[in-house]
Amino acid sequence: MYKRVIYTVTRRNFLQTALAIPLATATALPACATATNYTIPILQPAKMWQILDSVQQVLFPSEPNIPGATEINAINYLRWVMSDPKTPSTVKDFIVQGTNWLEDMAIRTKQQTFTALTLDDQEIILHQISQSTAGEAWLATLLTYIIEALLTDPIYGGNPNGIGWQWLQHTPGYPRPHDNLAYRTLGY
Amino acid sequence: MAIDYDICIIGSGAGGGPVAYSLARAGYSVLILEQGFFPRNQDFYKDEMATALRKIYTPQPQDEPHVIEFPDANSQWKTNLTTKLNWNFWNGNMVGGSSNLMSGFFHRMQPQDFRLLSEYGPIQDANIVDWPISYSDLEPYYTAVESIVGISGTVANTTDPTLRSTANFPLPPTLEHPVTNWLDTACDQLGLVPLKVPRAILSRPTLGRNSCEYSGYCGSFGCSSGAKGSSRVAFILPALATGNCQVRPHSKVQRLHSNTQGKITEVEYIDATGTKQSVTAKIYVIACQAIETCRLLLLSTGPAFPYGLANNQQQVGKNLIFSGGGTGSGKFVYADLSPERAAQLRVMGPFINRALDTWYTISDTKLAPGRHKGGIIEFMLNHPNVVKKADRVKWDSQGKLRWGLELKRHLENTFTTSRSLHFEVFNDWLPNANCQVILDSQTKDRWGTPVARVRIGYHPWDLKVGNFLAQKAQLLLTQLGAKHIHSTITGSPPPNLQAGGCRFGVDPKQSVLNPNCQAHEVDNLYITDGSFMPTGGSVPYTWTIYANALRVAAHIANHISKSSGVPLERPRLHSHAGV
Repeated sequence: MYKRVIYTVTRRNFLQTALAIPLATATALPACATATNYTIPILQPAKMWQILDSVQQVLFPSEPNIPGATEINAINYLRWVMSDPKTPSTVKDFIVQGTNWLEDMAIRTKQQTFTALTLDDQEIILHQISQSTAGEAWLATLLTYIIEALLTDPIYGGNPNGIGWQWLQHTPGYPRPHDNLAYRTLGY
Repeated sequence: MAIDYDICIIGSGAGGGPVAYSLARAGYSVLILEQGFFPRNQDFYKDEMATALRKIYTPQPQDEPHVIEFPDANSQWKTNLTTKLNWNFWNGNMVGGSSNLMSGFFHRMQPQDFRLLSEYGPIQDANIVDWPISYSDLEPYYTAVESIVGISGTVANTTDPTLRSTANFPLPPTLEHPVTNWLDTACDQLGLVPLKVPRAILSRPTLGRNSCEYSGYCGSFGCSSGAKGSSRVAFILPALATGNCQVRPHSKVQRLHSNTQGKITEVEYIDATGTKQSVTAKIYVIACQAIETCRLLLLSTGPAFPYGLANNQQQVGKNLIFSGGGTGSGKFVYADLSPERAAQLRVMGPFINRALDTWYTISDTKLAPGRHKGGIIEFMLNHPNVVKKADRVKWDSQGKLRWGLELKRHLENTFTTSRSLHFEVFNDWLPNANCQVILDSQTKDRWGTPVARVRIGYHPWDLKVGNFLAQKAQLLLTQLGAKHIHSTITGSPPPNLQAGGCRFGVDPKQSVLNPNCQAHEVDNLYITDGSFMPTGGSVPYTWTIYANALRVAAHIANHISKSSGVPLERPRLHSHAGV
């Protein structure tokens, strides 16, 4: 099964299905969340990366002797993706916007920042946003980059010492790239 | 006015390289203008990031898109940009073109492919014609390619042994995978005779190139050893070695200018610094791959060509073709196999090198009464690109996202418990009125030039033939004991197998080029990529494009020789045969 991910989405689409569930049962929204002039907070970069790190832990958890997001350096790989000129700006913007929206959702429904939630509550929120087209697309995008961190050559920042290749018994080809200079400078 | 070069070639891929090779070696001055960069062998790594996950060998889609018209499920025409469709009709924009990235399955077209209409008869709504040349006209050049490129293989059981003028290939076959024996046995059990597939890959060092290193990463990857017979290593580097050839990479040709007499006067291009440049030559050769060749002609209007260069009969862009067919696979579960066979299945590196051409002509009422053109089935192990395969695992069969431990268990199951044997069906993409190239009236590339608008309609007969062949392939996989066997035959074209759009023929009202691939309407213009092909046969095009380009180069040499009144030596097709 394969789905094409579309990055042009709106907050409304991101939250529409998800909010239908928690808002019906929400008991105490923060004052700021109920104000008519409430706007989504724009996260500071450090906070955004903390949230993305937490999301990656849920999407690709660590297990004994089996690598998870931490072991494959998924967050550092994502930082490289976000700094790479070859990553379309639409994708970069979508990842940032989605993180803002996720944090907004956590505060509205759980009255806490996403990173302070229990793993169970984080999982619940991610399942809720996955019910919307945009939320699913945002999660699919993060999963794509987790899988890239797992299985691309270590020179790109993930898959340290080929830990992902070893887990999935993948034999890399040779010659392997010895730096990412060629990727940066050759061709288009 | 001084003329800069004898020949200016636009595009350095399969159509451009052989022309440069022949004419530079014959002493002519040759200039190649190439849109992309000039890679060296050592620039190619087995790096999925560079090869498949990001676009470094093709233009960025937003900079140089195509507009695609495609039929939806209700046969209504839809239009969208390749940027929106996440589809790419560029293929390897670099010196050597997409031949740098080919798998090197090398097949000659068969004699009946040159007379498709007279051999099999007309098909309603298909613009089938015979070629204006025969197989025997091209055979010497197919043979020349074997030596120049270094084709490996063995002649054992081709459908028609009279196809060849030489006894065998110049190089022995490349190493074969243990699974090849499994295939041979299954074929024998079914009474089939598999074709041992020739490869444009050196099986031993020769021609100044290393032999294959058998990394298992071939198709879609550049070759770091130089064993793969790309246009770059087989033709362009030897052409450069003559001292008579220059390559200008990062040169994007914008248009060809022509005069009131209908002759090309100069080529206008943008160089690596973004500066507009021009160059003149006695003869101009276009070989930009079918879609972009048509686009360049359509962009190059002039006082004698209001509809585009060589297009007064409005044939340019018509009868674009791809390759019909599709893909399929079957899975072998390691736990179901003996330890010995499981170990064989895990081997990385050598090639399967087997195809079935049993149904190149089909006489089976299950398809339809009578004799019909069929095709070939090519077998290969699963492609080694791992990221794209893993990324698909995140979706379940219902289209819902997987993550967490569920995703991890599915990844383990996908990658560690089995391996797949794949097949590709190649059959004719029948030329038809709904497969063509025009200029888009709205979308422009980064230089402000209209982009190609490509209608990709297919003929329903292509699917019938493709499905017939896929069923045969599935029977073989069943005999092999594979599980989860399936195939997909669609009218969705493979963008890397383009041809047609400037078909050659004897009637100037029905074709763009004469039998020598010289434009009917433009004396100093030749086209040598796959655009010339009025029908495509049922095999990958590269060997035919190489051979035809060598054939046309001989005509160009005669053309210049006659024009200048100076007798020139015929290009030495066989003198590079060090194998």
